[in-house]
Amino acid sequence: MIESPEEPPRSRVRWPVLAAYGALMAIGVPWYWPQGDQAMVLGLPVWVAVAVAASAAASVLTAWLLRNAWQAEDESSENEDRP
Amino acid sequence: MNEGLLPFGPGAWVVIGLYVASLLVLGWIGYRARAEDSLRDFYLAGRGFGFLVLVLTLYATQYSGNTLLGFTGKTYRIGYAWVMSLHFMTAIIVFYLLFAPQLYRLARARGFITPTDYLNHRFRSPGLNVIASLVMVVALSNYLLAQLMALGRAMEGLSGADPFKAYLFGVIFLALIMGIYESMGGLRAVAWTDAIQGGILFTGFFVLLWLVFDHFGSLGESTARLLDADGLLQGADAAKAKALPPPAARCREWFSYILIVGIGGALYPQAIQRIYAARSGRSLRLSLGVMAFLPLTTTLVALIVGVTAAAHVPGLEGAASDRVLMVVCRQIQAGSLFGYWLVVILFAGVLAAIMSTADSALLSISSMLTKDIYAQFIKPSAGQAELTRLGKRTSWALLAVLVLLAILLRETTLMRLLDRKFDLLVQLAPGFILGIHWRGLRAGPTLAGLVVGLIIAVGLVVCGYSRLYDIHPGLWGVAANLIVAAGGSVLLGKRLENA
Repeated sequence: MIESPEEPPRSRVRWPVLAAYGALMAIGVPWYWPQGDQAMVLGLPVWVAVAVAASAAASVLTAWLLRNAWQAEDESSENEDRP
Repeated sequence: MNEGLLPFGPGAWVVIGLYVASLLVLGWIGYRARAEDSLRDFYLAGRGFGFLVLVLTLYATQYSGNTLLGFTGKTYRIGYAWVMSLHFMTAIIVFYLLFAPQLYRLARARGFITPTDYLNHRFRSPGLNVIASLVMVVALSNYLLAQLMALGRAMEGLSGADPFKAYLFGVIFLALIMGIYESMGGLRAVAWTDAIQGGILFTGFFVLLWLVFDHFGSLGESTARLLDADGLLQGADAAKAKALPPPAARCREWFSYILIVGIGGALYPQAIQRIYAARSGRSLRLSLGVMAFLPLTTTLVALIVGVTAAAHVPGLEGAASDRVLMVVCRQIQAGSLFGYWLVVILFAGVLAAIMSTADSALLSISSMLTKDIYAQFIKPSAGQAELTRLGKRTSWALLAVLVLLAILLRETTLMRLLDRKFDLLVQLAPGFILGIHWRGLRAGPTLAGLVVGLIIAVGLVVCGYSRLYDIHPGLWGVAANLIVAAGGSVLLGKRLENA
């Protein structure tokens, strides 16, 4: 069997971004919420509103990264391809 | 309690008929628009998808009939905790960020057609190619079978005829329609019909939200009704629990769902092929950017409907709760003529959701069987026209087998066992996601990790563990898979350095 004949393209995993997603997941899942809590906001239990807000924040972060970080990678790889 | 919709009248069937006819017309237009008789044109539509078609086809492919029917039923059973569906559907797009940009650039440069083309380019391991292709084919075949059965279920009871005849009609006739437009226009026809279906589905969710608020009142009223359930509803404690923060076990399951659906959904072969088919990086970026927000308009709506039904239509148990959407719609349908017609539109949305997911899975399976198995191992000398013809025949043969299975399995509850696609698909994550970032990942350990992960995931399911400590079997499998693939690569790398 031939081992790793093709090298993958250069890529950068940004640890602060991964940490931000991790934090949103930790906030969004109500593992820390008091069991019997019945507080409500906008017709929703507060813990559900927090989960929805964390999801919306993840969507905004993702859209921002798609618009900015990916675009920057495209441009930098185009520059690298130039002779 | 009657659990079906009221039978549709002739006018409603004309609307459904027009929708089905529009799919055939789009298939024919797709056939006329083909540029050449090649796999690239048939399976990737010549890599020409712009933003609008791409976002609608991704939407229609990722959100199936299960989103409308299954998610409302799950919310009905467990309550607000199913807001986890919002998290895991968003997680799919987050996981795309980890590999889609690099994969897109490679696909453009190297002319990939199937997901296995990437693995072949990266690892050049025939064993890995075969096992990865089989994993994807098996996972998608189960998924396609589930969609065909859902088509039959959707038609049951609507015609006023014998439910079995309606089921047969739904499965056979609608599968035939899918086969025809797909054979004519390949991915171009599938994506154009997806665009129509995605539009109907999107409208359907808004119609549903409006119908539910109009008929049952605000979400605040439903939440208060669940929390103040004493004396109002049967099983008051169970009703109240649907609005209270979930216990620790449910939270562990929540984390598990985010990871398994996020990773597995991002590795759907049909979605990977849509990444390949994007006209430009900009189209793909914009489409995924919009997709990141669509759980808020889709799964959140299903959650709201499920909670409203739990508060106002209590009493459905077990499998019957999966039909709660139909129960809600029947009440709305019987209320007014306007409600009746809105339900017709919603039903068209359900059909669109199921068909758009099924046709994409069918095309993807056909491409993998043709290119990754036949052209790779049986007849490497086959030309493009021959392979394209074979791909169409493969689609028809597969459709015939799955239609037969859908009819034979109508009375069984086997689908819960069969529908383990994410447990299988996540095993491909090291090869795709780690492999695209880490140059040190090697073919042998990646193949060994895949085999170990599959054995663990399938073994746990076969032994009856749908979760182990509230974690999906696929995640236990992929953890072992990752240790073998990464650990083995490090050890092999050191041995080669010393040699």
